[in-house]
Amino acid sequence: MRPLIDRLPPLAEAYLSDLARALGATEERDEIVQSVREHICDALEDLDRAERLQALPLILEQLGPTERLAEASAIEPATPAATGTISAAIAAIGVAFLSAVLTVAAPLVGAVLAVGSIVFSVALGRRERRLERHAWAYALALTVAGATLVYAAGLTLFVLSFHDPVVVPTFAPGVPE
Amino acid sequence: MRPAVLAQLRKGVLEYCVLAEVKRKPSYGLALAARLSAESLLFDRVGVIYPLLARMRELGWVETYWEESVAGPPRRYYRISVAGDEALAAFQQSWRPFVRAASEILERGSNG
Repeated sequence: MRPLIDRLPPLAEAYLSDLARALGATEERDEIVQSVREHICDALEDLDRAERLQALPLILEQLGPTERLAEASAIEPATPAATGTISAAIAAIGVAFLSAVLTVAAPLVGAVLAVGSIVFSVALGRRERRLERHAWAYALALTVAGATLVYAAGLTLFVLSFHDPVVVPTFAPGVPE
Repeated sequence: MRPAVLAQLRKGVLEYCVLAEVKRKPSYGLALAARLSAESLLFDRVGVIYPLLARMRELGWVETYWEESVAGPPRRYYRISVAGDEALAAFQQSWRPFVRAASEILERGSNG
């Protein structure tokens, strides 16, 4: 965030409020509103109070209706395949399968790795989902890691069910042993 | 020019124009908007560059940094990233043959 931005004239603040409303729950809403605020601040910077009030309507007109900006925020750039992150998607699958294999020998290590794989896949998959890329890879990684976790939990319960509980002797006062 | 036709033509192109301009010279918002608004066919309302910049920053195509201004508070500057450079190159590679092919067909249509 840009530090020390003066409060703008009411007309500009109203424009920014309208913009925030038009953008709705857009992920980049705060960033867009802040950038436009900086634009207005820079445009008004060298003007005195009277000149600011005169220039402001033109500045806002040049920026455009807030609905137009909101429409532009919905544009998804056509991303060339060359910039994709297929290596990250493959890594997600690799970690998920590694956790599954490790769970057989060391359930705890496998389970921890499976949790890591889920976090990794969710974080990257969320970013990629907007671009509709590699969704299958993250779905596969999540499925394998989820199944690994279920398997590890089941194995733990199975082992615990055969575990002999420690018998703690109790002594009642007055009762001869 | 018909606004509806222009609106259609701008789709898929504007963001790469912003990217090309940021590549030519890293800039803060107002300076970038002033340069781009010179092309009124493309940018009739300069405010649209901010949603595009925000989206491209999220994609990792542009990076932001702060730079002191001569007067007033520091400014947020935009510069192209390596990924942005690759995306722009890929677009340009497709754009030139696309424009050539479209022009040829449209020319044939207007002559025929």
